[in-house]
Amino acid sequence: MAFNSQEFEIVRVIVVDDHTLFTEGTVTLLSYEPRISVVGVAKNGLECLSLVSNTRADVVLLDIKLPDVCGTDLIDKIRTVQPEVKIIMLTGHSPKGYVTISRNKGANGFLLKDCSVKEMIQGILRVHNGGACFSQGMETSLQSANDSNNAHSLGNSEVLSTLLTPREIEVIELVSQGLRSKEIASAAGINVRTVDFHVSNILLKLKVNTRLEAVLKYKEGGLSDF
Amino acid sequence: MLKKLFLRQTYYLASAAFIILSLVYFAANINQAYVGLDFTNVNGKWIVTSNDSHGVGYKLGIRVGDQILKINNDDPGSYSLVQKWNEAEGASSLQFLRPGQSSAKTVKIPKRTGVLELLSEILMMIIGLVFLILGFITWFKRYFLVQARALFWSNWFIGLAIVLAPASGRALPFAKELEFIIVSLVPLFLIKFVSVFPFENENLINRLSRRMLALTSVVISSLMILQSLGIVHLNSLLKKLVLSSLTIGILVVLWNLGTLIKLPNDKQKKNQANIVLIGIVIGFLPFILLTAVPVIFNFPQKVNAEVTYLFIVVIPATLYYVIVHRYLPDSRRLLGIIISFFVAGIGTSIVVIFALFFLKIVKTLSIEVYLATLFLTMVLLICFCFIRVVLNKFLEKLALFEGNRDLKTRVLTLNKSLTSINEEDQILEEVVKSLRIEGAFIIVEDDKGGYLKRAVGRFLTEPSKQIELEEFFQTNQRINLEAKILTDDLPAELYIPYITNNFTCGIFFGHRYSHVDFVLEELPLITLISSQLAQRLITTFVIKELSKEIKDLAQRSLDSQRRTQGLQGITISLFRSLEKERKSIACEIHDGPLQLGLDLNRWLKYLVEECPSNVKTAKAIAHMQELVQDLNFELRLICNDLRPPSLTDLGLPLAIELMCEEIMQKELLVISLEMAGISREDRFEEEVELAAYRFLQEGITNVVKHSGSNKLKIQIKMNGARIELTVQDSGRGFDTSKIEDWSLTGAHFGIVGMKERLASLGGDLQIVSTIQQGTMLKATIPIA
Repeated sequence: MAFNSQEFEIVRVIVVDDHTLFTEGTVTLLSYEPRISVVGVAKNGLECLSLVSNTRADVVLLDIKLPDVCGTDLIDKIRTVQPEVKIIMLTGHSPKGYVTISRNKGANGFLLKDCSVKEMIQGILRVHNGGACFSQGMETSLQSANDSNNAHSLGNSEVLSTLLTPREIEVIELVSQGLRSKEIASAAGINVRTVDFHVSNILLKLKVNTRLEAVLKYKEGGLSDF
Repeated sequence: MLKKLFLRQTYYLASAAFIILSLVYFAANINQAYVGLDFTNVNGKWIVTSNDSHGVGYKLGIRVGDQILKINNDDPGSYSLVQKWNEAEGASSLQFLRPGQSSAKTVKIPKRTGVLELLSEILMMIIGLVFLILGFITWFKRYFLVQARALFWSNWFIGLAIVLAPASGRALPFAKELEFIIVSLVPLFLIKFVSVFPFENENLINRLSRRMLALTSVVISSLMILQSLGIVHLNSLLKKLVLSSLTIGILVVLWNLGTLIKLPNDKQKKNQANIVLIGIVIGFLPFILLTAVPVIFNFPQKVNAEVTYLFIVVIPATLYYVIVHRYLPDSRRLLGIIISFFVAGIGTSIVVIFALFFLKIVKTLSIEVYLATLFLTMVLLICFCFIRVVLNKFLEKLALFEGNRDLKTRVLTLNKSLTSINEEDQILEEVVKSLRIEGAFIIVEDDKGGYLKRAVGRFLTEPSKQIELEEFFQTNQRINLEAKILTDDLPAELYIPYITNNFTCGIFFGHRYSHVDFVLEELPLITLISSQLAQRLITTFVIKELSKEIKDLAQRSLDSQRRTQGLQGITISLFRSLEKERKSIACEIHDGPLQLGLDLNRWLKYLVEECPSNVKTAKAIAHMQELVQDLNFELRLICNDLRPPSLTDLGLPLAIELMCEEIMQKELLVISLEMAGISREDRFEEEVELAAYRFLQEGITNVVKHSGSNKLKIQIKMNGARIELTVQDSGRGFDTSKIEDWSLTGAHFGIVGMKERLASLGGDLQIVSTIQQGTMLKATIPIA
């Protein structure tokens, strides 16, 4: 193992999650990666803290929803025990609201629980090397939240029309007619999740936060037929 | 005030002057006999033109047409009063010559007035004083009434004119002058009086005639002064003037009273006028019958004319009565009594006069005898009535009439005492005691089947008799509604049914073996008191029923209050367990299916990335991925809806911020969120946070669904120990009065439920809404 250590520095990972099946899956998937070694599994905040203080670990994969404590509240406590350890938050829910607060508290990364194992491995490694990691799409949401302060007008209609895909234009048309997600879904023959996905993409592309703003910007930009 | 005092003073002074004048002239009258002759100078001869039958002149044999040769043994032309008034008053001797006779006769005139004449003077003074006194009392009692004041003055003048008449006849110093002036003023004040009585009806005729009469009065007064000074000799003209002004005055007064007759019957004023008219008729009738009629038909008077004058005082007395008394008897009834009295009197007097005639006490039948009889009969009838009333009172005091009358009084006192007794048993006791019977039994039945039985006296101890009577009552009910004396086979003596709208009562009086027997004539009275009794019992019965009902109601309201409290408790625990249930379901889904879905999705991604496969497999896997992602999306939505994890993890302010952001992405709605006195990290009790979150969620949902507005303002404010949450839109609005109905119909349960939920936390919900102007929901939650 000693000679190997020059080539590989094995990243020691602790998984904190109370969902046994899911944790087992994580451990199994991570075991395929030689550079990562899962050194411990904790089922709640208390176990996590004792594990962190007793085991030398590099990265903690921390589920936000724990039975005894909220994951975001655990960050500070882990830091007091092990200031050097890197923390990646995991959530099965929508990450909205949590990303900012986690970042503010000093989390190094934020992954969705259903991200691919490749993404997770890359994330762990990047964090270990001092970087940050976020699930796909999350960077943009983060960015939009950051950029929302900087007022900027979008260019002309040409830019807008190239910005949005035909599907997105179809969706924003329906939105600007005052239809709600369910109605749009049945009108466009897609499901509600897809509509919401398209809408959030449109909001990102138009750099706005609300549907109403998107509709106004869309009409202002001359993309509308009316 | 001063003026008032002065005015009052005037009345006292006038009355005092009246009395002094009347006393002074009365004393002078005693000391000078009344001659009563008028003469005129015809070619240097003094011929008597009129003589008063009451005067000394007439009694000494001087007649109209006689020539007066000497007065006090001197030529009549040199006697001062002859010069002034053509009268011989105050003379001590007269010498006269009858035409056709050769020798002159000298008569001595007595110095003092005779006793008979004096009586007549006293009578005049009494009449005059009665006028004054009645006028004064009327004014004194009702000095604020213009009618009373007018009556005072007209009475004052009439009275003075009457009092001065004898003195004027005697041509005492200033008496004639005063008399003329005062008589000329009488119509003036009479018209003044009728123009304010019975109400102010100042009209053109009254005003004109008063002016004219005032003018005449002035003329008479000035002529009188000239005459008195001996400058003019208009003796007869003055008399004519005074008489005509008096006549005009009386005509105007009569015309005024005549108009009052035309008033509608129900007017109080008409009643007053009628009573006054009756008074006038009564006042003048004896005078007309006994003085005027004989004079007209030229037969000697049987009754001294002065007696008939006395009746004139009825007129001021009537006026006094009418003005002083506010509530007057019905004039029609008075008239009826008077007419019946007169007709009876006339009938009786006819009987009397024929009786006297057949008894040969009266020799011939003539009108004058009849009139005298009538007058006497009337006086006798009045005396009879008066004595009868007095005797009756006296006998009543002695209590000589027992029996029938006694029952009456007993019933009356019982009637009085019944109103002061409240207990029904006592009422019955009282009845039995007052009627002096052995027992009573009463049954009250209402139309709803309520039944009340009460017995006193003998019936109390004999239930079998009660049953007997009850059977009788049941069979007789509504068949026979008349009180009756029962037959011997029934235990009671008297049965009185009493039926009102809702009640049927049967009252039995008297035990069969009692010694008191009822007389048929007493039945109406006993029926009357029985109905009183029954009414009283019904009242107590109703009161009892009512108090029972009120008690019931109070109990029921207490029960419902308790139930409401219980329901509130249930509401609170329902909300709690609902939230708890939602939380646990959210947990179950999150920890079970969602984790599995997430794991599954991850494995599918691994499969795609790590295990290359053919096109078909890849397609299938991609489809599965879609399905899993949909599944996870739905599961997340459900979890979020059941219990937003952000609220538990991040706290109320952040959770609300997130909710607003999410809603703005999902709906075409701009929410402006204001927070004051609260920081983003503040945490509250779970129940408070949940209620606040749910309130805002509900409020926003309502705006999206119902308001039609795309702008929404949310305010979160800390106000002491309370959180105030406001949701305000500028949309359609609604009628807030319908909220109460919603809780009953189950419509819009969100708001109603929210109200209950906030109340259960000790908070409250205010809803302000105006149609077309928007709605504001404001919740206040105390933080413990």
